[in-house]
Amino acid sequence: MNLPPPDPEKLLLREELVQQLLRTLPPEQVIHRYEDLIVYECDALSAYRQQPMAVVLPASTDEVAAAVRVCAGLGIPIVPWGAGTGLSGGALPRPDGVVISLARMNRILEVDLDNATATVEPGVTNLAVSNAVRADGFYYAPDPSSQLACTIGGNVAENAGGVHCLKYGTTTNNVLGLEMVLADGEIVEIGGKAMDRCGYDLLALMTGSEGLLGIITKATLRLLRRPELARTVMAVYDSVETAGQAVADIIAAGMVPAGMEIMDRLAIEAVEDFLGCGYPRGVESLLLVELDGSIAEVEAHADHLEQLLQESGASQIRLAKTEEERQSLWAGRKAAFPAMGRLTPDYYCMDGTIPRGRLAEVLGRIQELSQKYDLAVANVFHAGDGNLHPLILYDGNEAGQLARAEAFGAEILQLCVKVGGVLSGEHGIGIEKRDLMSCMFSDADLDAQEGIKAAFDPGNILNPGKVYPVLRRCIEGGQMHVHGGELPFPDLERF
Amino acid sequence: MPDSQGTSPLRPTEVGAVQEIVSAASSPLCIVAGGTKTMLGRAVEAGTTVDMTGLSGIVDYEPGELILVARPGTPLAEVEQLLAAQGQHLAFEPPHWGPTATLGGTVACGLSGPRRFKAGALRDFVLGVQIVNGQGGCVRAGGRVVKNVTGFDLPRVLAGSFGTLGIVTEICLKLWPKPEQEQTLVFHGQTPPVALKTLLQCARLPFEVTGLAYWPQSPGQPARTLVRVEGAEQAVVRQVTALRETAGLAGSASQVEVFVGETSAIEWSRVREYPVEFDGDGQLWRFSVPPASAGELIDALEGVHLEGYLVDWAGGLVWARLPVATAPADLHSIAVGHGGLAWRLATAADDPNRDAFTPMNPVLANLNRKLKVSMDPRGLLNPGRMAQTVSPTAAPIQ
Repeated sequence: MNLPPPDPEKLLLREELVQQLLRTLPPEQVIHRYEDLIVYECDALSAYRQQPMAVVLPASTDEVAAAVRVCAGLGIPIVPWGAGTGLSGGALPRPDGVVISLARMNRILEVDLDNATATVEPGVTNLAVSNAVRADGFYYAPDPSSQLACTIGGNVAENAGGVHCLKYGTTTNNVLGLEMVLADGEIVEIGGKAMDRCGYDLLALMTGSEGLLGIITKATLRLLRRPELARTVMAVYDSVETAGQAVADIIAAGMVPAGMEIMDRLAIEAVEDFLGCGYPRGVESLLLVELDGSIAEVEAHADHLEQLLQESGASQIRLAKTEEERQSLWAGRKAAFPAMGRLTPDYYCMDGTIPRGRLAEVLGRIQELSQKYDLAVANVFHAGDGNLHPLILYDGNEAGQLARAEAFGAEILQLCVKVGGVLSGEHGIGIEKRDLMSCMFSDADLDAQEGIKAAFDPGNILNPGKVYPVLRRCIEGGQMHVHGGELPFPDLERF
Repeated sequence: MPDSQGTSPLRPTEVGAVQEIVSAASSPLCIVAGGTKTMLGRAVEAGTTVDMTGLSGIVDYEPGELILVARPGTPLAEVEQLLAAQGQHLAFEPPHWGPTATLGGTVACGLSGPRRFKAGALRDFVLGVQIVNGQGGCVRAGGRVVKNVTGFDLPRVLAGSFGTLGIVTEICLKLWPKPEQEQTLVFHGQTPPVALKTLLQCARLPFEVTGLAYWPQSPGQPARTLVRVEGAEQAVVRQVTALRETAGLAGSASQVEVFVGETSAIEWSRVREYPVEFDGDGQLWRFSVPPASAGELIDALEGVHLEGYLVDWAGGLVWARLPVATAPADLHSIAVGHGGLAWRLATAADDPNRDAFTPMNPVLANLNRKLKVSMDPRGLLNPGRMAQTVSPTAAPIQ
């Protein structure tokens, strides 16, 4: 179960490839010297690294198409690249391939407030979209925690989420139109500013396709009116399970908060050490609930929410009274991943989604697994939509720890699938979870999906080796990661 | 009722039977359910009818998880009743267009009601599907959770594919709490330009506005602009009051009225069910355009003798009645010229409706064809319904 090994014949084409790219694009937009390629050796799944043969930085759709035609002509694999913030290795380069970075295509092309849309190039960052329309009272809803750096192109490719997905959906709910370059260099436009589109819903197919079907060169996004009021409450519980029950009670009461986040003891302590944002210390669990909308609607629900939290057994409830207090409550949650860096040399972030009702059971099992693998785990998760982010702490310099962390992670994801959930809520499959796809899908299911890939990219040059397993099998109990003494991806360098 | 080939419809009651029908088929299959939306799309190019109403029933309903799993033949009305009893609903407000509408047909047609501009489209609520593809294979995609990026998003792709990519045999839908209260502010007598401005202005307010529609003046009936607010009762009352006081809104109307609860619901069911009121005189068209283009679209349609219309989705959806002689190609190019697309509804059961959909450019059309061929290589499922059939041999897929 490896990435296809680099094709020696393609490696031999390196000189020819670079020459053709240099003839096609301005020389400063073609990176091909080994020392310059190091920057592109990994995305945010940094345990896996390999350098591409070249990186190109097109400045227009036509240049993307031209670069794709060069690669298609030579049969060279392409890995599209946004900001490299992805956590599943979706943008991991191939030693026999080219990276097409969309970083230079970073203009906001149009803001149309009457239709509440923004049309942007793929290299525009997620936060830049909201910033561009903030003064007009609008924003772009998906808010992945990397929003300062991650790009819209990458967001569309990965169907990025964030903390407000239960109420506002993920990227796919907020994209109205796309322009893409296909595997043969053709340019296609799908959708626009209208709410319907012609033919099949290719917007849905492309969003979250992880660079396997096309390269996004333009996106028309749906903007939302900024809520009149957002009110955030923090509630403290003596166990993660009781916090989870509070979430169920809130939903059962007919409320749809904009966000509901739970953190466990280890995560809370790490965040307090890192940021000092005022979370209580020595508590087992913390729940953040945010209501947003019109002042009238938020106020109508706020008292009811507080009452529910009290009845659910919260030992402490704190309502953010000012915007600063609200931001401070969120700052801790948003810093949860970086805060882990203080506790551990490395951490491995999981991303399964489960039915909310199975939360207590799954968390209990994760604690057991933590003992089994002798690795600590911190839990932060989007409780409203059941999206878990267990963070497995390990030290990559200690022999065997990475393999143990990966086996632990695989077992968590298999558990998610077993209780009716899925492998990935928002980070994507990439290479990381590719070999687990058979745990969730049958051969017939995977045939249907891979049939579409084959139809759109018959030469298999767009991000090959990602998402779909090379060999299909689901091995129980995390054993898949250490098989016959071999690690997965032995062809990859490890750090 | 015998189909066009004179054979009786097949009526599978389990998934295995659907697989057998598709595997054994040597000629096209025409997949039907409640038959309330046959006027949408092109006529299927002959074939054996497969009636899906026999594959019916709720598989799983978990109010706490906000999900429902059901088989395609389940009547839509039954689903809605079940949800209402738990204070939940389908937020995309699916049009019924008749008492026999089913869940499967609703997903296949992909239509969303008045709440579309606020709550999202039907496709945004389809979390998972089980289908039988064109080779008779049973395929699952998606899941039962809201946040899921595991593999290609086939559930959304299946929505609105008119049964041409696969026969849906099970559907998992995302549910939403039903708002406690609804009220509709009705501005009487606004002219079209004023009304369309009102709709856009209300869409931009930070209120829980979930319906924005306009009925132009018709014989014996003054024009009405509808603004629906939903949510907690006290919040709805406060927002409706604020809307009445919003500068310029009420002043342009001859009379302002508030419909509460059931009265409001009836008003919106008329908007949602508009094609049912169509008397068959002329042609009925459905235009989807950027909301701010509705005014110019209507002006352009006036130029080809527009006979009546209804605006929904804050301007994003325009239903138009046009003379029977109007050339479909002209109407499609008007739609494209205003940044959108149009659907022509069949005028009668035997109308082949070849011009049902706005034509796509060749690159997009080719991508659509590739998707169709990959899911249904033998071209068995509702051929012709969405696009003219091109046999894979006649037009090799590049």
